[in-house]
Amino acid sequence: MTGFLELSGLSKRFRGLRAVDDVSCRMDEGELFGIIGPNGAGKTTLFNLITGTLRPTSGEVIFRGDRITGLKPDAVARRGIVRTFQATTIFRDASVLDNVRRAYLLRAMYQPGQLGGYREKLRSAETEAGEVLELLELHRMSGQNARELPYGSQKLLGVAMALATRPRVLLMDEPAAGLNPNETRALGGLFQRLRSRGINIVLVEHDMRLVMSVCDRILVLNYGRPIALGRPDEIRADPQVIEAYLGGADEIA
Amino acid sequence: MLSLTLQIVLNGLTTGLVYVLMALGFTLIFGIMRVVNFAHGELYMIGAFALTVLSGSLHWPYLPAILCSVVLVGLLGALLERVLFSRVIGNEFNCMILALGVSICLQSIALIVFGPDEVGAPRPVTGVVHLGPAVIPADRLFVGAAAILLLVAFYLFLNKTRLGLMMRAVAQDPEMAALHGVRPNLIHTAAFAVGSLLAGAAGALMAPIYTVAPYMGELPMMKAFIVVVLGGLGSLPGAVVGGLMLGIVESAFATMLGSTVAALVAFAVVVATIAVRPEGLMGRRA
Amino acid sequence: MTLRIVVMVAIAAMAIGWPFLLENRYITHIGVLIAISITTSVSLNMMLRIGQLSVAQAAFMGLGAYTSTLLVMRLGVPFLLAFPASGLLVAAIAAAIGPIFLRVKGVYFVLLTFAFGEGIVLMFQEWVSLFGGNNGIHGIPKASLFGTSMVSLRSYYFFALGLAGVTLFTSIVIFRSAIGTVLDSLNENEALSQSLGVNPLSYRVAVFAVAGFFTGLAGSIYAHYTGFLSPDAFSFWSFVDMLVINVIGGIGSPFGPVIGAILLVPLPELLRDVRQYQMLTYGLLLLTAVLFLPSGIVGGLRELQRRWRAR
Repeated sequence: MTGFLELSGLSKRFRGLRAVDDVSCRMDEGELFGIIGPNGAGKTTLFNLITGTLRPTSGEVIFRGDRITGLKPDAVARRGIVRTFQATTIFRDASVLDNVRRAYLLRAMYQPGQLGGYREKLRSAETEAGEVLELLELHRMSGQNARELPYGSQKLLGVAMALATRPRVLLMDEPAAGLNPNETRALGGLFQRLRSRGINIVLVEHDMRLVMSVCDRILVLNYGRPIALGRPDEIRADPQVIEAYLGGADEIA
Repeated sequence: MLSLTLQIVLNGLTTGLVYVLMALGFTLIFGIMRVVNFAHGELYMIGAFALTVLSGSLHWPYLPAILCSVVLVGLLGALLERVLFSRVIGNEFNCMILALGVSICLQSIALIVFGPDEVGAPRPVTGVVHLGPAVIPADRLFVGAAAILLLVAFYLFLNKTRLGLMMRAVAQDPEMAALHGVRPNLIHTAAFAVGSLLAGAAGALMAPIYTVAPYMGELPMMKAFIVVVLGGLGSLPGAVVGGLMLGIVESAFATMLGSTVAALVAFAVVVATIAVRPEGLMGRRA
Repeated sequence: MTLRIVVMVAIAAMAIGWPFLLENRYITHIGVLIAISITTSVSLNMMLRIGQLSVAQAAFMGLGAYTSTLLVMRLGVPFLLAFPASGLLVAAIAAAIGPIFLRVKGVYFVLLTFAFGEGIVLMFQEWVSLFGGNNGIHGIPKASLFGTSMVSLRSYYFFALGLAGVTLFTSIVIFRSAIGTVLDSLNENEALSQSLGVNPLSYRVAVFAVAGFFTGLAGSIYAHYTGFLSPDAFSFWSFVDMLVINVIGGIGSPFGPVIGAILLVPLPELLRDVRQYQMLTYGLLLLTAVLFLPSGIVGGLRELQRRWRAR
């Protein structure tokens, strides 16, 4: 049986350097899946391979039984796999509401049966955007200019925009990086809310405590190679993982 | 057959060296300032007119005339950078528009001052030189030798002087250079001056060979652009290799198929290069 | 808002009343040139709005002009068919080269379209049997609609004005619609837009083709209006004209090139006998605009309006 999102033998080489080396794993529907590893382990490269930003040297990405290897990022996004970025990636000069509205519109341009007038689209974008902002507790800032938002809120806005496209899978690249402890805690709650709405989440993250507390299963990469895959308690006990994080062992605890 | 090949290569090298001078300046200015200098051909033209006036109208001896012409165009470049380009640096689009404006202004000023007619400059040397089975006009050979001399000087300047080394640093990594205390303003002015100087030298060298007219810069500008695209925008070795290659290939095509085909092939190669490998045939991948 | 409508109605009334104003053939002639220029410059403006400076526009106009001329003169196709065919052919060429050309950005796109334009002009010059070479093509028949030849200057004026109007209208509609939102988003942050599901290339190619379509149509009118074609009318310098019109008028709005064309097109006609001063004026205007009025006249007016409101 095939999984919801499946990677098989996925590899990427840059001039001989194996950035991602033969990664295979299967994510099930409804699962919150984490990917961790020391710096330079190839986590972001793996993300870029799934979303089509990079073409894999070999291997396949299979989503709900379809091969999506080598599709362009926009085509992958239209299939329902949407990513957020490590850095804050937003339309800086637009208002918060406008950002989310735009995200909704960009996606709606391609949806069949949505060829109604622009005004109609705008109206549904408005409602949709309002709901998403409320979900992320950004609705009080909806009139503000995106560039004026604090860093944490800018990152949340990025998530809001991804959500506005109604993804099936949300790939989040280090959502907690640069957030304060309060914001990080709030993030954990957000994952649960997204999950209850049937959105699958794949999380690349540095913050071990967060990953260990929210993820169902975790894949550990080291120098591009998968060294462990399992539940948080299994990962915590895995000798190879501990060795990979040597010196940073306290991070795992 | 051998003599024909030799002839083609020699013709190609002499033209190619002039292309190299043009392309080096063009690519230097782009590499350091991100300015596509559409006015580069006009600097060539001004170099040619300066020499024509000094050695033709004012009857200066050739050597002081050409030195003075070259320095003049270099100073003009420095002036253009200080007064105009320094104000819009960093905005690629505005830089292009500004360069276009400068190009139009310089060309029309030349038209107003010198009129539209073609003029000629006196030749520093005459006659032909026999190199084995090939025959080459002495003035062409002279241009080639002078160009090589200039290239060596430029190479030494970039590798042995403090200013040259700073320029290379800025071209390679502007942020890193700034961290090490390199003042970009000075480097920009110097780069524009040196780039202009090279164009002016090319123009002054070619003035006795071709006719001199206000629109004469358009063709060399086009060649420089082709060379620079092939060699990679901002790449100095690319400009040298690209220039010599274009000279030889053109010479071969012109001998065998005619210059139109040569030009069309050049454009097709440019389009293919940018589409497939925008960093140029020799450029580094970003 | 109402002020804007009043201004627009006034401009429309003036445009329609223009050829009757002084009953002067020369004034109407300049009107035709302005209308053709508005069409080509607004097309270039569409490309500028998506952040791509397309030097190929001049070649597109030439392709439209030669297509229409050759269809009418060689194949006896009626103008009514040759006119749309010229626009469609250029749009098709743009759609064909777009996926290759529009993958690169900024300087590289400029250089690519520059090389393309030079190649096309070279083809006009050297393929003498088809395009007539540097001698050009003389005696192009007047455009004829439904069997009646357009002899009068006024009929050309209204035809060209109509095309200019449709081009402007199309540009406004595109950029005010959801497509405009997509294009602006792409311009602002391509990676983000793509991650949200937008295919950048397809949108850019579509705009390239639309801009090519109207430029081709403008070329067709130009050919049948002047009755004479030569390759140098479509050289780099003809692109510079379109660009100057955009920069002076303001590239941020489709009305920028309209204002630019109205102000600049009469200039060469006024300075006709002193071509070098005309060029110098163009050059100095470009320098002045870039240094002191970077968003053009429209941008300057907007700034004034903003300050007025802020008082």
